[in-house]
Amino acid sequence: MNWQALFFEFFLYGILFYSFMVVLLYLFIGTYSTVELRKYLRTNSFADWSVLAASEHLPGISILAPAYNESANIIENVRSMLSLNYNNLEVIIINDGSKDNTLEKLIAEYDLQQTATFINEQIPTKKVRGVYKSRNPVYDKLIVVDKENGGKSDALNVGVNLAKYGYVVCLDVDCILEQDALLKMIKPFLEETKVRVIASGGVIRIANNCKIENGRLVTINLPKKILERIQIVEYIRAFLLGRMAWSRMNGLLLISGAFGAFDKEIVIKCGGYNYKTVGEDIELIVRMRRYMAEHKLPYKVTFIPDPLCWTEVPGDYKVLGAQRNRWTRGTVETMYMHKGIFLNPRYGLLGMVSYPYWYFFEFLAPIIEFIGLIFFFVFAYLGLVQWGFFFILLGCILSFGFLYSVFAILVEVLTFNQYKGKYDIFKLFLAAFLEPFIFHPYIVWSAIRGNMDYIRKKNSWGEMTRRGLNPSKPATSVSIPRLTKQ
Amino acid sequence: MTVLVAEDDMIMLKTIEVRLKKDGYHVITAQDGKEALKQIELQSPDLIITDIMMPFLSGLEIVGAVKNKGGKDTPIIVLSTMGQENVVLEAFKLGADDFITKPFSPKELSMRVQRYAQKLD
Amino acid sequence: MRDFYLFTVIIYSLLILLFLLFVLILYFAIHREESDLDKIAWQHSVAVVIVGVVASEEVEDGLEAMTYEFEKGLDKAGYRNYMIDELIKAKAAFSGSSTSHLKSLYGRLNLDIDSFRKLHSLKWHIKAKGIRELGAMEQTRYRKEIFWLANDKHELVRNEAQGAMVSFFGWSGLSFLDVIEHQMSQWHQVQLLDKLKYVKPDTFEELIPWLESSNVSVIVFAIKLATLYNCHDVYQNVAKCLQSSNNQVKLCALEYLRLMPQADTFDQMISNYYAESTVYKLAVISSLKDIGSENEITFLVNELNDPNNDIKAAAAGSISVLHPLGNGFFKTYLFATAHPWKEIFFQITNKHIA
Repeated sequence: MNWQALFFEFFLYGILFYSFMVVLLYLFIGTYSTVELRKYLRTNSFADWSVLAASEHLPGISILAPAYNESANIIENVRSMLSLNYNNLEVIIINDGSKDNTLEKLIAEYDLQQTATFINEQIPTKKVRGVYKSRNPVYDKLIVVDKENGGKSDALNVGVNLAKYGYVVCLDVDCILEQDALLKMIKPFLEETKVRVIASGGVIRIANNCKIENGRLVTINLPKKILERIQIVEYIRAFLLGRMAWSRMNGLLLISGAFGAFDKEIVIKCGGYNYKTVGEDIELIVRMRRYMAEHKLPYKVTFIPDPLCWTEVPGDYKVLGAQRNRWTRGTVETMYMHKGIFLNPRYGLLGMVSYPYWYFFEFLAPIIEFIGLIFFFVFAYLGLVQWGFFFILLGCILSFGFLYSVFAILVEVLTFNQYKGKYDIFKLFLAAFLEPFIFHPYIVWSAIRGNMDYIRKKNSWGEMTRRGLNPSKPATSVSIPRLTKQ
Repeated sequence: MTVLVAEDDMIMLKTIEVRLKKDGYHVITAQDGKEALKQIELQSPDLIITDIMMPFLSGLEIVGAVKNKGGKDTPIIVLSTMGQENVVLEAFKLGADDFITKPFSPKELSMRVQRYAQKLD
Repeated sequence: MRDFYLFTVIIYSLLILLFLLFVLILYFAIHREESDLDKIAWQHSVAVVIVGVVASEEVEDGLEAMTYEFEKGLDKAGYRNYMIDELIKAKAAFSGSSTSHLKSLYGRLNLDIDSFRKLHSLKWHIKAKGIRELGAMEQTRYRKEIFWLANDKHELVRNEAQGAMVSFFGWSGLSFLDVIEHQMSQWHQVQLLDKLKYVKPDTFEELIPWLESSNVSVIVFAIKLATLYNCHDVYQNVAKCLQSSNNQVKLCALEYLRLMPQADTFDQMISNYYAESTVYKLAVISSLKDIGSENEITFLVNELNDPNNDIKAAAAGSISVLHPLGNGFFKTYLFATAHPWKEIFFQITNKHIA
């Protein structure tokens, strides 16, 4: 047997083994998450949200929303935050040195005046230029902070320094929250009697093509573009299944940067957000978990599957690619920073399961796929490929993937059922079918580029400050469809 | 007397409607803020009863629209589950005449409506 | 290689089968959502009955709205559950005589038996639902069974049972605090406190054993109750709680003392001050704004030197309220022009002017 055939056999079995592991994992996540979902739905049906909204006994929450060049929608977004159903609330908007008139618009709309506020700089940040509060008592929940541009992490850290309550909710300013979102987010912190909940993540739902009026989500529609629909399927898989399963095991490594709640004390003790990475959301959670593990403090990171937060996702390849590139870089940066926990029993589940999983099945996956593809072409050229076998195998993998997506859509229908249009489910099926052909390869490619960019140690910091907080929207682009208004 | 009732909860809306009809008033119903405003323009009711939390337009915005921009002085009773002080204050500041927190008694509402009916006569 | 071939064909077929299964399940799931005309019609007749009963002076007037279809529908357990849910929703939405009409309707239709049966289910969420239904519809005759469920092994069942007891009997419904073994979560405590909003107890004797309970959450809850009801009688018992090792107990006790201070309150608060957490210290310093006097100024000035800036700021805030010179004191402070005191004092001075 020549070395080529040997290598081919080795390669084939390697790929098969890896795929087999992936399949097993998905099966596990699929079943495990549904159990947790069912428990969550049943438990939540007993909460009296309308009564609790008016309660005086709930702990205070500080919403932190960094804003950079958001003048188009800032007023509506702030209004939406101020109308949330929660008693002890403060909304802190951090203007990260916007180049447009974000700050001016806020000052005008909310009748703001500069106040002499002492900020206890427990986390070092860039200079704060001013703290503004409203003269109108109706808006006494609102605080606007103006600071020098420093990026999202820096802005959030200013918010953490300023926040007066014990719980902070970090929110992307263009996210729309459901009315009861804060009640549902604070619940896990108060429900635990045995351990301390240090952070809680929420589901991000896709607002593209949804009707939003006066900062409130009025109608939920399926997006029109196929790319956006595919992302819906992807998000359902990732959030409802993936994160729910990890949360149940207390192995959740990621809380979306768009919407997450944190115990402020622990955030400060960990030193706040790290401004050296574009993946500041993952990095903070990993660091907070490490902190608790190192100090041997029992803790939990939870996840709320309720659709609470809605935001727009990229609708074209260019923007999508930039977003996924950033996500990859953020993940790689984080993993590299915390490589000490890999298979380290000191960190319990985090080190022995969560991190390795992330490494092998999230980080390496696109690399293995890409390399696999290259080798495939090589072997095809060399005539080593058994085409019959190959197509069966490919068919199996595609079918399994499609099946898993269908399962995810099914779970969504049986639980929150947000898409009630007549043919919406079938449109989602179609999206799931097309995903491996028109979406997944591009994602893999973006991830590869992300890795390459990371290796080149591109100055992600500089890029962020030029592009603002949302690098998925390049600064040169004039009008990317924002919250659809009708 | 013509009464407009704006409320998005079906049972609550129907209950108020049935109760007031029993009392002999002509009742117009609306299930959201937009519809309510439309009906106010069209039918000029003598009394408005509105919930705060409604789709499209909140009850407070309706109060503002009627009292300040509409220039009318139609008495407005505001209903809400939120017994929060600032909502009550805001309602009165905008010009609302009365405020009832849920849960409320249909009998009590009926009595209050009667007071307004008497004032009209 | 041939076996491998066969193997993958088998897997492929299995996948197709599974897929067909999913499509089938999905079809049923969607079909469930689609308009089942009978169900919709019945739901409508339920609404008519409920509206009739609520909007009328007498229950009988409302009961006239019951149609033949309505009564027929009640034969189905699923429909009865829907009726129970609607009755509970309506009862929460209205007050006054309408609610007793709804309660009467619930009894007349024997729906309490449905709810009671749920208490014996093996599934926790069914048990909890049954308790909730009986609690919402004021079915006090089942209090014994519900009381025993207050110590159930499943948290939600316990919470519902405890909530129901409070709904039934108000303050005396809290008797479960004598016997519960599990900790009550903060979330649950918030819900109970809301239920007690309109309750006015006559005596507070029960608080004393609760304040010494072996169950930490009972102590916390008892302190919250004492605070809620401004109960001065238990001052000494609550002050003793400051010696507890549990942080939450201490913080709740501080809050109580802040609202109901006595001559020795300050001394009690600072008896172990320098060993306490930052959160505790901040709570003590802030409370001095309300309960402090000039005697505490020395202590506060000392705290202006604490390395933690939050403590400095809190101390400055309290000093500005208590000191005879008010904000004028700041000018006399040794480090008034240094960071961070300069910014702290500036904030306080300007707040007062505005």
